Amino acid sequence: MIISLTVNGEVRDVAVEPHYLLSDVLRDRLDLTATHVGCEQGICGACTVLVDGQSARACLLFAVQMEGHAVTTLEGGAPSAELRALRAAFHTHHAQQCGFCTPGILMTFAAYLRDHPDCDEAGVRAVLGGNLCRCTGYGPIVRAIMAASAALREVADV
Amino acid sequence: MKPAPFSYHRLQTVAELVGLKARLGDAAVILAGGQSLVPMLTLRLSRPEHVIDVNDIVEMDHILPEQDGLRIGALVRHQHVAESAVVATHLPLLRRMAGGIGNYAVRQRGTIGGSLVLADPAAHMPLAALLFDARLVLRSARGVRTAAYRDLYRSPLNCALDAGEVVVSVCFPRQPEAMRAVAEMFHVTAGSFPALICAVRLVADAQGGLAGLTIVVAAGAVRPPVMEGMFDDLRGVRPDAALRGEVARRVVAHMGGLIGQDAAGRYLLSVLEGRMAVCLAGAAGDTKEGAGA
Repeated sequence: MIISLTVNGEVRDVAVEPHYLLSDVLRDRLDLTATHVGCEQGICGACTVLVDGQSARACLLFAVQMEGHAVTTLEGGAPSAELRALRAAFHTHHAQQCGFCTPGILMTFAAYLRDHPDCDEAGVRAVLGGNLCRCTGYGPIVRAIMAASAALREVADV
Repeated sequence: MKPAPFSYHRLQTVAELVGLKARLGDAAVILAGGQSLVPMLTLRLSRPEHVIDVNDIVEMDHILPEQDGLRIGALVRHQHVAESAVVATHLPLLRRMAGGIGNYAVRQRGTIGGSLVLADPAAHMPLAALLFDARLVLRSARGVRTAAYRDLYRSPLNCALDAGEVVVSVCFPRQPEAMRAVAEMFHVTAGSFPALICAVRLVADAQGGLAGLTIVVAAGAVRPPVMEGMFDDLRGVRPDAALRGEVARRVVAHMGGLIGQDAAGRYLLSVLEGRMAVCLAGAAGDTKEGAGA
């Protein structure tokens, strides 16, 4: 069947079967390989994308379900202020090593920081529990997210 | 692994859903949030011929305070419950428990109806529905009925809906003013199902004695027991430290009989003992958390 997907603001027609996972269709059919596939059971968080602006596991969605919804991946056309702040802070704080988990974390917190501009470290740590990282020990990631959050507040105050 | 092929149906109304479910019967599974179903399909633990996607059925997505309680549509996402001011007013414990489910991304998709029908023995929503004696509103081609979740939830992963029935909403009964409910969730790792949840619902009489006590514990792979009648002899007694100790002893003994006394069981029981003390103190009003948690 041919479905019409809105990914990163672009409408793309793609041939799929109903049982194709969104994560596979993004990577294999649309060549959007920033969405990483780890556990494929919803545990690791590497495949997190935004669906209608909210974080969701791409491996727990069928592509066919996404007709009529907006999917955003890390490649997303115009990055949001949150994503730009997170990227800069991840650089500054060396918040990635192998990089496998990074896209999922960036997408998760792009939505979380937008919805929780006054978040605290406990809240960030609780949300980060949904994304496995096997390199960093999480410390630099938490510091980067807190720095991004602070930077966003500074911009908002000006 | 990848899911096996299936036919996909995306519906817009409950009427369509009921009609299609009547026609397809057990060959069809309902896809709501998909946070448990899709992994089961991916692992091929389940290989349905048909998948019915109900995510567009907006008539099942509502939180409504009603005369006799709080009605929550089957399609309401956990994060919606966790952030709902209405739920916070009527059932603060439910709101807190919803916020402890899985992780942030999972809560954005997972639904209360899906969780209740799946009836995972370690899950938060089934436990809350057991604690507050929630009723499910069920629709089928034969009509509408309501049923107590305590009756439907027979055993782990077995919520006994009749053939062709779908859950439309869940009703949590209005609680008396003098009710306090507290739960403790014990997670071994963040985002996983809790290894243990214990929840206490305590209603005080005018003198501050026990008018009602309900305790539900999820531990081990057993259907969480609803402990209520075993406290009948304690009615009217003030929930002081001595009484709370007695209640905790009874609960731990009861759970010990259900989950076994091997090393893992003994460990869970020791955790339960400590968490019961916290819950009971909260529910008795000995801590500030008791009022709202």
